[in-house]
Amino acid sequence: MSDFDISDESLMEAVNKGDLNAFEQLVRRHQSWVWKIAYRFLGNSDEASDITQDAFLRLLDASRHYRVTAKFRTYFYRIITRLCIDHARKNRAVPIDSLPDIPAPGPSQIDRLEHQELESGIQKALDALPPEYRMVIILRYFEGLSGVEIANAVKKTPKGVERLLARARKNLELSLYPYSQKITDDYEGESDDSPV
Amino acid sequence: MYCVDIQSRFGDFIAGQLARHEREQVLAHLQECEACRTTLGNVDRLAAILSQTECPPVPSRLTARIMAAAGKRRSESVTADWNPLKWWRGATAPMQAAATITMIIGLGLGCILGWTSTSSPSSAATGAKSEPLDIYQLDFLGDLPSGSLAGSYLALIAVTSEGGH
Repeated sequence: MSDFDISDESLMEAVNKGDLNAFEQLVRRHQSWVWKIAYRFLGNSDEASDITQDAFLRLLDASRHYRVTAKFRTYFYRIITRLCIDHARKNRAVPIDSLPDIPAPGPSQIDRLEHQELESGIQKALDALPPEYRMVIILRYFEGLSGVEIANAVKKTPKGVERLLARARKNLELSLYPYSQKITDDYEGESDDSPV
Repeated sequence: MYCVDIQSRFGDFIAGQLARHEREQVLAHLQECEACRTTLGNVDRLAAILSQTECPPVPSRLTARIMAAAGKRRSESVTADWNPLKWWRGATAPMQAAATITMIIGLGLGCILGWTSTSSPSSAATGAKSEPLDIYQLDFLGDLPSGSLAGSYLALIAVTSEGGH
């Protein structure tokens, strides 16, 4: 039997009985997406690691009260979203000027610089959003969650989530307008070049 | 259906997460409504922009770091978790009832025994009449000559003992 044959819920029950190996399996399975949500939300690798660690420790503490009533992932989304939003409220206005050096696609130096500028612009636009708006945008566009799944994660109704998303999109559209124009131009340029 | 209802489904529509009949409703509305087509275009463009961002890889030492913190947390919680009420919370109702009855019987027996031992007239009388040598088990001093220091001490505690009773 491979590690992935055991469900997350069964692993949680094992963790409740004190099995730290089961906990390690959960960490290995889920750390990637948890860290990415935290990173996109906070824009900082070290803080993302801190929040990810806190989220798993919360999970460990909560294992004794865990009941298999909801999907594990939904349960964990709640933990990570709560931690991120609380963290953002406590540490307002964190300037994100130093983005990590991400290898960007594109053959030339100019392409890479443009790409970095775009990423920096997007991150700044995200950081300017209120924490709840930022979280729903991340869950929708980066995690691909449905309205109902986001509603479960942030403890709101699906209608409430759609309202948050609509407002968040409006804010983002304004701050990302220059990039949106550029992407549209690039796209149209590519379409014109392509053979019919 | 109102535009606001249709627009609230755009996220799921783009992600392909709508049920078939809902998707058909959205498509039918889009054919008639230019405002919603524009909004959908904006939502779509936003998704295109956001998809341009990349996330750096997860730090390689993250698992080890989390496991070290988890091990520490577990060992702390073993010592910090001692709680006399923990058993009570975890016990079933019959176990709690049995424990309650046992405790009441124990307390009752303790009270009865305590009351009988303190109020028994024989023990009080014995105490009053006993010599200090018997009461304080100082019989090894009994053979000492009168007038000695130990003899004076015995006389003193005999007086104190009588005064007390």
